[in-house]
Amino acid sequence: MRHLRLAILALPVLVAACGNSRQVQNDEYYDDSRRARVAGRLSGNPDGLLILGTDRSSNREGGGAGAPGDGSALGVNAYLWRASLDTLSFMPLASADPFGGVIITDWYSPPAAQGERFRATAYILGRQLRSDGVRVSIFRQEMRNGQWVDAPVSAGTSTELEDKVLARARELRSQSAAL
Amino acid sequence: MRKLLLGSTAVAAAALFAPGGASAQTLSSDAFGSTMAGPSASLRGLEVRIGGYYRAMYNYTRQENVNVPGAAVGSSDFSNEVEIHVLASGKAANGLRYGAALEIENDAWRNPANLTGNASAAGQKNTLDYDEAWAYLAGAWGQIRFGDEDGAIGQLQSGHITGFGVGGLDSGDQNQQVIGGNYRRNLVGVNDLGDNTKLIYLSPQFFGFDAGASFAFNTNEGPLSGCDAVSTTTVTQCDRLAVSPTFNNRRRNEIQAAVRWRGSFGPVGAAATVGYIGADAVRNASGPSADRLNMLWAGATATAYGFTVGGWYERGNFNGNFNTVQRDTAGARVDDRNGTAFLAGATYTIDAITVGGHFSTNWTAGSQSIATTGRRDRGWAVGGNYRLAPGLDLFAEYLKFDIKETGFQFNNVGPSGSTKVDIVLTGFRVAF
Repeated sequence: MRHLRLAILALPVLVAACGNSRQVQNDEYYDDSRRARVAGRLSGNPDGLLILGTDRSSNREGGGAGAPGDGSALGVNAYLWRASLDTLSFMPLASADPFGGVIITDWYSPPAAQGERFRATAYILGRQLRSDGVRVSIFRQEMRNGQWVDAPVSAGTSTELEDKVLARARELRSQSAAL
Repeated sequence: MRKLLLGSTAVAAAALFAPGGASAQTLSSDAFGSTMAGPSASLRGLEVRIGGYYRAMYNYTRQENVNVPGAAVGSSDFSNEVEIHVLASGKAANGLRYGAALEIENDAWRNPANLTGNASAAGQKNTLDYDEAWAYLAGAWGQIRFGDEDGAIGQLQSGHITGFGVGGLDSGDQNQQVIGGNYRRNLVGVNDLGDNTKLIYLSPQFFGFDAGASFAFNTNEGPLSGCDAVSTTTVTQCDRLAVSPTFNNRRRNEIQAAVRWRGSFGPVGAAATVGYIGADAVRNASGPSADRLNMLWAGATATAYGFTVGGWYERGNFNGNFNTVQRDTAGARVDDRNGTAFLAGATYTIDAITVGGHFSTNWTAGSQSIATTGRRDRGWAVGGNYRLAPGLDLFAEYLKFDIKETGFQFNNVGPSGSTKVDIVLTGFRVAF
């Protein structure tokens, strides 16, 4: 009997260690409320009306527009797209194409360096959340004799921005994964 | 060159800090401004939702020999019911999922005893209470759920067919208009064990299997102890009742364990669950106590081409309503036979219409003072729904059941040994 109890206590560790395990979502358990017996929802959302916080319903399994892999709203990976927008949001946005996965900012001058300005272009390259799924290009100009002139950009800047996009995408994925 | 590096680094630094205080809505925010908010706690990880349910229906209830000389009830009535669900959930940056759920409803059964006039019983039958309230923590290791909630089998059950009418025999709606405990069917569905406050562990799924276990100290729920004195006259009101001055059929130290499998065979989706329910009995200070409750439960369902068929079966030493069974007293035998129950059901859905039915029987000891015969509850139900819109449907349901135990007086008047009940429910319901 003691061995049986030990085995039961070890069950969570064993199943977590199993490589083929997946987390079971709350809507996969039986709900004995009368509300649960009604097919569909007038609100269109199985979880009811959002009254506070972030709507993550589209990211749950079987979710609708915007869910990773769902092509109805975005042509590229939703996490990389949103992470790129967040990361470049300190610069004015010139254009954003969610189907082609291209974000182009307008020129931006840092307050600490008014004699130069930057422009960024981000390309999201596919639907998968991959480390090579985003490319960021930075363009720089300097003010010389009253005119903006193209100037070189530090080699690591684009890579740093790409890393920041990937980190933000990971954070978004963590926060909005199915509950 | 130094300026080049400074400017380029400034761009990267701006990007580094911007997401913490700015979102896509603040595209033109100044990342270098002194008023920029740093990384801070926000509501991004939290999601709070409210859901609701409303049901209005006409009900026709006919009970055999329910009326007595000088007192009678009609057969028809209108009734309604509401549920409000509040769901809060979130996910921490380390991946830990958390949340809480509260289900508020009005399902009080009885009018106050002093209702004599035509005034509505406001604050009585319409009083809101809560049905379930629980919180959870979840991760790759599974989920821990705590609160007033169904146990492990209740969470993982299969074969519970409620897709037609308002749920047929597998729901509690049938009993809302039945008057008198002897006219109601035994509660033997796994959800009828109750939402006693418990601790539940639910595992991840692997190779189609997931498992769970739950424990509750007693059959009560909610806060407080339930009583304000420990005496022979009040102790049975206490949640933590352990020894009763007379026989008591309540359960203690209730354990549930279950394993569920889900998968598919071509176009057929299938699920099956097996489980165990065990509980200690309250000790009787003046005679033999009840036996420990031990029972097995199994259920399965299959779905394909619009059809869903399923059912469940249970067997063990339990009495109706999951009461424990008393042992023989000295010199006097009691009926301590085991309990057995099953339910089979099916639904068929085509477009906006769903039809289905149930058949169920359970055999228990029933009255333990009648040792020669057990109790048998048998019933069937048919019903259908028409979905006007997602979350809004019309329903109609007919249920019929009879209860038999030779020598037991079920009816208020007339012959003993059996009773019959017919119920018609029709109306509409809304969920959002």
